[in-house]
Amino acid sequence: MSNNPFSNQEPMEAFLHKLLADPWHQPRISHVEVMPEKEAEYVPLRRPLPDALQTWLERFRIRLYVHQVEALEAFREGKDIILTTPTSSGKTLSFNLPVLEALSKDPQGTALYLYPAKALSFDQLGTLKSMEKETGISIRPAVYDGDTPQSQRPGIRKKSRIVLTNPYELHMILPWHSKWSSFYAHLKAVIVDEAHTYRGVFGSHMAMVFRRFQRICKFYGSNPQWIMSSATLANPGEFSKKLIQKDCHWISKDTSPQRKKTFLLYNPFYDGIGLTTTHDSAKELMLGLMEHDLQSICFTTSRKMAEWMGMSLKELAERKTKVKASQIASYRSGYLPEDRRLIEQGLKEKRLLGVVSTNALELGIDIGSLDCVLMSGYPGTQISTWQQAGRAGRGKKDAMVCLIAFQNPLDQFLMDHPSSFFEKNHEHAIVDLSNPYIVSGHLLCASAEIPLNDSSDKDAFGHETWNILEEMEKIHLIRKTPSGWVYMGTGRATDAVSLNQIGSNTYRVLCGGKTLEQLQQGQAYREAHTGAVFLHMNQSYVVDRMDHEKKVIYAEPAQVDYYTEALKEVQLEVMGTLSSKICHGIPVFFGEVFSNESFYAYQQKRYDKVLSKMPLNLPDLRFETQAVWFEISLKIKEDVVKLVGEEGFIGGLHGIEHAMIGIFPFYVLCDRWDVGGFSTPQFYPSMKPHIFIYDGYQGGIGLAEKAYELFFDILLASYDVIRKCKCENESGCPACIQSPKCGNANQMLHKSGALIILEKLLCPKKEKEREL
Amino acid sequence: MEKDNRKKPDNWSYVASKWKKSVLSLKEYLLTDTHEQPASSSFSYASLHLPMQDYTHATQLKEKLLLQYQSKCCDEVFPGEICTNDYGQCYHIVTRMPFSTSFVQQKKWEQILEHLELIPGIGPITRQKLHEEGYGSIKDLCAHSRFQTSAEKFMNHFEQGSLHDLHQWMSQRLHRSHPAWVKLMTMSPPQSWAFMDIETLGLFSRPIILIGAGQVEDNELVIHQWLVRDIEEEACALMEYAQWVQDKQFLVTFNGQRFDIPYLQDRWSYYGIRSSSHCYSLDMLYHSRSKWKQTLPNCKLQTIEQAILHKQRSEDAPGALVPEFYQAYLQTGNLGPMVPIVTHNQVDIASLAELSVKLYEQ
Repeated sequence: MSNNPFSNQEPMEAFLHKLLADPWHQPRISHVEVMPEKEAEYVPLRRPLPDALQTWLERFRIRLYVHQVEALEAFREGKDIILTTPTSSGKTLSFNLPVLEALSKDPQGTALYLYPAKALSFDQLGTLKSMEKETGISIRPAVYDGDTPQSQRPGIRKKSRIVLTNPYELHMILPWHSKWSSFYAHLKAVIVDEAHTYRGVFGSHMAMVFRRFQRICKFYGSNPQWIMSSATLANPGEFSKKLIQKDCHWISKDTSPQRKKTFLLYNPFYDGIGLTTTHDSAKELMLGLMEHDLQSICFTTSRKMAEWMGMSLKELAERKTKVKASQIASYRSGYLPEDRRLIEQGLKEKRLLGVVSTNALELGIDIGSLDCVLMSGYPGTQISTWQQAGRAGRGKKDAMVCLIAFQNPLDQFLMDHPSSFFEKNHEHAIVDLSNPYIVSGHLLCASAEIPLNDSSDKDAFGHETWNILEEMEKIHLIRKTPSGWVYMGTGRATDAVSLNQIGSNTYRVLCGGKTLEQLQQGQAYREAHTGAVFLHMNQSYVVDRMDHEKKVIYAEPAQVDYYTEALKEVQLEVMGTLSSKICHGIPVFFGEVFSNESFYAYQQKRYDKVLSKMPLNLPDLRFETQAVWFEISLKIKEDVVKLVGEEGFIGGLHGIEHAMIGIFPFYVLCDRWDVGGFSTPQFYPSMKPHIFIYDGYQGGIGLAEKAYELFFDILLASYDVIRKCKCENESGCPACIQSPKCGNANQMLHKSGALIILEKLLCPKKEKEREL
Repeated sequence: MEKDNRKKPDNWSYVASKWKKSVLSLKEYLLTDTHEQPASSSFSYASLHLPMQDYTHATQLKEKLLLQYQSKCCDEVFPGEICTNDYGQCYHIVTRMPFSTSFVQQKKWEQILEHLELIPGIGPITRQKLHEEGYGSIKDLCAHSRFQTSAEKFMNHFEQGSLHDLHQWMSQRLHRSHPAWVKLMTMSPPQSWAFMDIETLGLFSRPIILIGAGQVEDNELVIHQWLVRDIEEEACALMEYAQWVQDKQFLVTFNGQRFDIPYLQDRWSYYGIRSSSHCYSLDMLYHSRSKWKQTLPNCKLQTIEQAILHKQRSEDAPGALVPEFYQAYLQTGNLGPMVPIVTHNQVDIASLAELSVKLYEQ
């Protein structure tokens, strides 16, 4: 909180100096962006805070930054607020002060804090508890989530004035509002932290959850003020309006102090070859930093990589440097809360010098300020990148951030176009208020909470509301009554609507009777099948067997020098076509499909080399979803086979599927991992070649449906990606037709096959007249 | 350029059918092979276990009833009448059965005074000592040097018959399954007791389809049932019951503390109905459990009925299948499947009343 001008800048300066002059690194550093040091800006409050808070600020010598004062004054004026200042800019105080002021003025007043992850609520609980103790304002803060014991629940509902929860729990407790009547009736403020996580499919769900929540507040006569805090966005106004139906006062200017921060873009593939991998470059840089005694965090894009890099760094550090293995740790979701807490503490207390983490440490858990942030691969969004970058440069020393590129098209594009990253607008957080699947599900939930009737419900849920309700009545899910529309399904509405589609089907990984962690079924099949090398807290285990009845995985500790990768085969079955069209001569379909995933084998690998392949015997994962697909004529097939052979044709289809999935998120506003693909040279019954892309959500969630509308744009963009890629191998590269999530380990790919097929499809002159 | 052969008109029926499917897949009971209940869940409503045999039997019963009651109107199936209030209408069925209240005359409630542990500072050991010293009732304690003040205060409430004060006192001193609670009930006249049981479309946040409530009048138990013939009648039924229960003193239920009472409160609040009932709640599940936990395999009302009240039910629908029976009625308009539900509810209330007498007498 204080600014010490006498800081020691030497280690970072020395490190950077050496790095920038190094003949190996120099060509790989494709861009250096320096963010200058910045003084804090303070301003006095217009009106003092209540004594308890004023004394508290003075006792801890806290001066309020301009943006914190702005938040407080805006709240006093009755405004709703969205804060988009960066990580560690004092956001927590920006909303805790107005809330505590309101609660100290109204002794019955209550507030709700919403966090996207359990760990964050507990972090904030600690802060609120100590504020309560130090100010003497009685707020009895408590976390109310899936882990809260039944015996404590009534007490929290009646006595706690600040309740912290998460989206999933909020969704589940809305129908129980009569038990919370007093809490709702006196609700003064709702805090939505990390609001940017509520975007895309999840955000569309949350927008509906918030509407249900607001309906209940209104029912109990309260109209709380909202404070949202979010990562920097291009469209905070639009986003908050969509999410919570309020015109929010936007506070964006960060007036907290900042040290000089150097942002490097590092490209191991600058020469088009890549003598080292992304991860090896990250390890090397991290070792160098630690040797200079610079505390660093390296973000990876997968759980497995966070473990591997942690293990390998420990080994390298012990062998080559004075850094000890005990100063290095991995961090990811799936660890037990107490283990995670230890690592967070270790960072804060500087006991740990290096941590390799997944994006689990991207959100606002307090780990203090680090000297350096490395990103081993572009995190996928600018939002994530800036959140991760914000982990460094808030302390007393200068800081460095380094983004190390993958070989894939997006990362390579960023390396070549740094201005698109540093100068351009940030991403838009997209919330879809008219996704029919999402809106209708939440209408069911809402009708089970309070009968739906007056015009405000229509305003909240959209103009289709009554049409949906009428359909629902026809099938006895809802009944129109004089009091409004009443839910009457035989199952609980909130159970039918899942916010994140993560099934309840989880496996426990056991070692010597102790639970290591819990895994979702799909995760368990991929990462912890019999024979798999399973990594947990930088220890390797080999899975002995899986018990599908008891949902238990038995693992034994083992020292191995290989890792495993499960191979799966996807089969698809069309249940029904819902729409079809001829798009530039290409027959395109949208409909319902069954996907059947069978994990048939796994490979033991060392440094990307396959050592052996073993059969797997796992039950199939079957699920029903929606897909967009298109047919390729037998004529094209014949022509292409003549040019590149049967294998070239099959590899070409496979390549197009990958390229389309790669480009999909930009058009449909989702994540690459939200969708799956399937291609086949002959699909029953027409026996024509087909390519399918399907929603990764049970029952479908409208992604393929949207892609059906934008089909031609997506196909054209995929063609562009492949055509412009400079790689020379027929097996392609991650920049074009290779996929990081390919179930067949990127086997059977054929780049020219893909290009020829696309050219024939997209060349309208010859193909235009030829329709189905 | 593009031809779009949309078979899918902006298709809400398609989306709705998907929800139907997903809601139907959410069963609130688990079919099991045997009659064995897992020990832990015998009192839990969260996981109802339904033996396959009972399920098959009930499905056959449903089909049989659908045939038997084809094209019969409500009046023929359940003699009763339509009642109306601000919230609309519902169907009111009244059943009377003989019920002796002679047990009340025995003035057993004076036995409350034997529970010395009602006085602060008296635990099992002190009570034993006091008994040995000849203090048999709280009345006697008015002469005890240490407990005199508290004992006199209690006697004062007792003699004035102040239920409110006694209830508050007892709540602080006694467990909810303490036998003194049943005795307290008889301090108010039998006409002021309400025996209540509801039938619902689910375990929570779904409509109530039948509210049953019993009242003692002279030597009869009068059972009122408000039947929701269509979901739009639920609010009316809730209102009728709210008015009926308004002047009652004791609300007697079986597991009502955890299920029926919060469920009703939730539905009242759902419709914005204000209920001004201030009944003292007595949940016979707690009392039965403390009495028969050792001797009975479980403490479900039907087990107690057979073993203690020596009653046998015929053509019963398992509670878990009530929603499915009701849906069958709604979709066909045939009241057949409602017959076992209405009967089941009547029997439950009658058993509850008999059970209360049994517990009172023992």
